[in-house]
Parts: sequence; structure tokens; C-alpha cells
Amino acid sequence: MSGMLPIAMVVLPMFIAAVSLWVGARAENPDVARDRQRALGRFSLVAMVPLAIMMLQATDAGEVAVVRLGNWPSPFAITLVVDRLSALMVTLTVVLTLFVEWGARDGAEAEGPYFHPLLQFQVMGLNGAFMTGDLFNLFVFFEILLIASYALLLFGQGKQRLRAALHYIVLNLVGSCLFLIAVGVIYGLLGTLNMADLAAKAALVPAADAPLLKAGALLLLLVFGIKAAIVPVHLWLPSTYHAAAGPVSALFAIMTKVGMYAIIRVFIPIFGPGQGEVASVAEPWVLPVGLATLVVGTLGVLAANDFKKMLTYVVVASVGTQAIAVGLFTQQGLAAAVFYIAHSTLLTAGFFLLADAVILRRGEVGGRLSAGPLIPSARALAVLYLVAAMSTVGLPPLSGFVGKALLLAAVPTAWQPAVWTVTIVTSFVMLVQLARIGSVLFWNISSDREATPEVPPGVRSLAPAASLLTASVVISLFGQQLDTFSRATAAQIYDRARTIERVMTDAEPPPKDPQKKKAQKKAKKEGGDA
Amino acid sequence: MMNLAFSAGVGIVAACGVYLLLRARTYTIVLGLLLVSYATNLFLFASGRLSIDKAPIYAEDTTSYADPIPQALVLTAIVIGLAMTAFVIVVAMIANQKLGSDHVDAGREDDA
Repeated sequence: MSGMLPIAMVVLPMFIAAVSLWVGARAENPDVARDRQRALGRFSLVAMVPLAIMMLQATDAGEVAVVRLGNWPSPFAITLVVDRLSALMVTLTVVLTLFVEWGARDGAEAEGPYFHPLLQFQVMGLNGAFMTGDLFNLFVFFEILLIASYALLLFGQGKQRLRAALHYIVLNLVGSCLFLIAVGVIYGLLGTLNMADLAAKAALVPAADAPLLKAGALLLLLVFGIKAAIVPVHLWLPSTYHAAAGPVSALFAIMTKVGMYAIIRVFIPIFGPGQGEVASVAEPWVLPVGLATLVVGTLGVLAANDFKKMLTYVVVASVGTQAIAVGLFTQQGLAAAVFYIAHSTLLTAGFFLLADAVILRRGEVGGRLSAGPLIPSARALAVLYLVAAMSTVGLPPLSGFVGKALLLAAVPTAWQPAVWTVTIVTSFVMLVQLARIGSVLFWNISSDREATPEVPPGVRSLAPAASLLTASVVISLFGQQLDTFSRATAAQIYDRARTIERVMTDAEPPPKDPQKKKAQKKAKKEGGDA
Repeated sequence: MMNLAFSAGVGIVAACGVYLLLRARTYTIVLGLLLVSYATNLFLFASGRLSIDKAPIYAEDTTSYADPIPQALVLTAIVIGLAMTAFVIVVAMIANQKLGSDHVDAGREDDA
């Protein structure tokens, strides 16, 4: 894999976003501006899909791409490290954003200016966060994706959005401060922020420094927990996702995964098993809070009186499932987590787009779970709902079933009673509630309610949601490939020594051809900005 | 002595910041965020160890340098903090206008 490839995944959306801001400001009227911005944004997203797939193929063959920005030797350079997990997450991000952009065409993007540039900035932050090999750089990309998400959340405004955004922004700013404090503690004790170097040095930390380092590590766990919405710091999620515009909440399906990804990156290689004084710092926490998150999420699903609100709790429950899988701190557990992350990102996003379509058509009843009008294209919507609900609950043959089965199979004997009971009981509760909600939405018809008449392009506007939900079927068809891939991913993450060796040594020779020099220049600029 | 004074200062600023953060008005929350981020920046700065009379990055005739990385980190953190504070102020002002109050839960009943 050429070093240009990971850099392009960050620089391309940044460049396109900047250009489309400029184009938007120069256009004669808002509609023209939006058309041009959409064309630019779509170009960038479509161009990134083959790039992401190239990364996926290269990493699947076992390659770990290390890009040292400015070509300084490790650990001084800020590195981008692309392994299987990074490539998978970047691919998910790009594909998801493409569908979200498609889904936004029928209304959401027209609620205000600059939807498309914001989407590009969001992709830039996400891609960067998924590829960086440096803890402080991770902070910087977190901030980029957060500020884009603030603006996207506020997109279209409205009182509810404003209030939710205010809470979300303040919470995340406090989270950023905690992140910096943790970075300060860790740097002060280990003298490095390169993640591979940290993994090498954390194992050798003297016993006297260990308690402070553990405190720093657990502070990081709290920060990532806030991003991932793990109980007890999940309270921001339901109101935020509920308030956001439909396509925006669909895009936010990947935001909780950023937190989970960071937990995987930090608490397995750096503070994971076999790291001397700081071994397995997170182990007593992640699994129990994962179980609590799953229970709280399911209770929320049960209590919700609004379709979209219910979905936000489905997200919380899915975060709980991922945390359980990661929290087992075994290779099998991590493999199940990777599979589940891939499945639930696409599924949740599709479910949100579907919910948006249903709520729009129900007129003034909206998402409330009470008797509503007979909605247009009810049959297509109901079929999609059935697929989404089945996969969420984990009924065979859809990908949700495969994900949960892999998780249950990965649980070691000691944890089997707790994890199996919680997972199976919550799945059953969700099955009951989703069946109830489905029957309210599609069968509980009250003739004195007016449906919103179908607007063009009618039933075809369901295509983005349908495609995302079809992914659930496709994933279960190619379940074995994805399972093999996630097992290899987990093995790679647990193979700490190999990653350290790959990142810390084997510096590339100085560039000769001008093409590469240009990349270096760009890279240096990137590094300087960070 | 210097370490004690410095850490006490960071602690007091952070405590004031947290107190203000827990208020229910956006204005005090913004002030609290500012104080907390100042305390964080100072803390981050100190993670390279406090020292006096050392070369900031490099000097030819000395062997003791101050650690430049925390300085770079702080600089980045300040820039990001500034942008984020500006953003939160704008959002708070719009919220104050649209919701008719600077209470953080303003207008909750409207759209329940």
C-alpha cells in the first residue's frame, strides 16, 4: 500500500470540504450552491470507496501500512497506522456516509446551507481517528469529528436540537479536557504518545509509577466511554440522536463506534494483558458496564413512547453488546466485537433512515406510538421494518443472529451464566417490544388521522434505507468471510510485539521520485496542523 | 515550592471551573469550561516537568533542554480550546435567543 493512500483518505475530504465552502459562497442562489456542493461531496465519497477497498484488500493480505508524516523516524513522527481494523472502520465510514448523503437528498440537506461540506469534515475526522497511531493525534481528530458533529446536529436548528446540542457540546468539551489530562499523565510518565511506543514502554513502567499511570488509563476509559455512550455516561445519547435530523442520526451510528474503537486500541495493546504493572487495567470495568449498558438500553427500548426515541435506546443496547464482547478481553471476544460493529453500524443507520421515512409519512402523529393514519407505501416500509427489527433482535438468518451467536460462543465458562442470561433475556424483551411497535406503526390505524401525502420520488426515496438494511442480509450471506476477517483482525490487535516492531522500525528510505516528495510535503503540512 | 504553588494553582482553577460547570446557566457554564480548559492546559504544560533556565528546544552549549513536546501539545490544545469556546458561546447565544432563557433546560415542556 502506498503511503499516499491513508493520507488521501484524510486530505481528500478536507480539500473537498474547503472547496465546496468556497463554491457555496460564490454561487448565485442557495439551490445552485447546494447542487454544486452535492456534486463535489459525492465525487469525494465515490472516489474514497475504491480507495478504502484497496486498503481493505492490502491489509487483509497481512500488510500493516505505517505512514510517518514528515518522514521523521518513529516515535518522533506522527504516524498513521493502517491495519485490518483501521481499514474496516474507514471502509464502513465511507460507505455509510455515501448512503447518508443519498438519504439526505429528499429533504434533510435543504434545511440549511453547508450540509455537504460538514459531511466531508465529519468523514475527515472519522477517517483520521480510525487511522492515527498517535494518542494526541487521536485527540485532534476527535475534535475535528466532534466539531463537525456539533454543526451537523444543529443542522436545520429548532428548539429541541439547540438544547440537545448545547448539552452534547458542553459534555464533549469536558470530555476533551479529561482526555488532555489523561494524555498529560501518560506522557509525563512514559515520555511518548506514539501508541506502539506506548505499548512497548507501558510494560516496563516501574511499580512506583504504576498507580498514577493506571489513573491516567482509567481516565481515558472514561473519555472513550463518554464517546461510546457506556452506562453511566450514556445519558447524552438518547436526546442527541432523537433531536438530530434523520440522516444525521444515521451517520451518528458510527460515532459511538469511535469510542469503542479507541477502547480497543488503547486497552488491548497498551494497557492490556501481560503489560507488567499496568496489565489489564480495564478488565474489571468494561464487561460489567457492558452488561449494565445492555440492560439499561433494553429498558429504554421497553419504556420509549416514541419510535425514534426507542431507536436511540437500541443504539445504547448495541453499545452494551459491543462492550461485553470487547470486555471479555480474549481474541474470540474481540473478533465477535469486530463482527458486531460492522453489522450494527450499517443496520442502525438503515433503521434510522427507515424511522425518518415512517415518521415523515405519519403526519402530525409523527413518531408517537399511538394510533396513526394509514401511511403511503406501508407495505414496503413494513417489510423493511421487519428486516431491521429481526436483525436488531438477532433472529436468524440475519447478521444480528450471527453477531450475537459469535459473542455467546466466545464467552468463557466463568462469565457464561451472567452474559448468556443478560444477552438472551434482553434480546427477548426487545423482540416483544419491536413486535409491539411494528404492529402499532403499521396496523393500529385510526381513520381520523391524516397521513402526509407521498411526495416525489415516492417509494423510491426508501432506496438508501433499503440498501443499508440489505447489507444485513448480505453480511449474513458472506458471514464466513467477515468472520474470518474479524478473527484475523483480533489476532493482529493481540499480536502486540509484531505491531510494535512494524511501527517502530523499518523506516522507509528517503523519497527519491518527485511524486513521493509531494506527498511528504503534504504530510508535513498535515503534521504541522495537528 | 514551585511545584507546590503550581499544582495548587491548577487545582484551585480546576475546582472553580467544575463548580461553575455545575450551574444551570449557560453563561456560568461557559466560564466554567474556560477555567477547566485553562487548568487542563497548565496541567498538560507541566507534564514535561517544571524547570527554570533550561534551553527551550536546543542550544549549542548546553546539555539540558526543556521538553518541547508538552509545549507543542499545549499550543494545539489552546488553539482547539479557543475554537470550541467560540463555538459554544455562539450556540449558547442562539439558544438564549430562541429558547427565551439561558437556562440549560429551557423550553423543555414546549416540545415534550
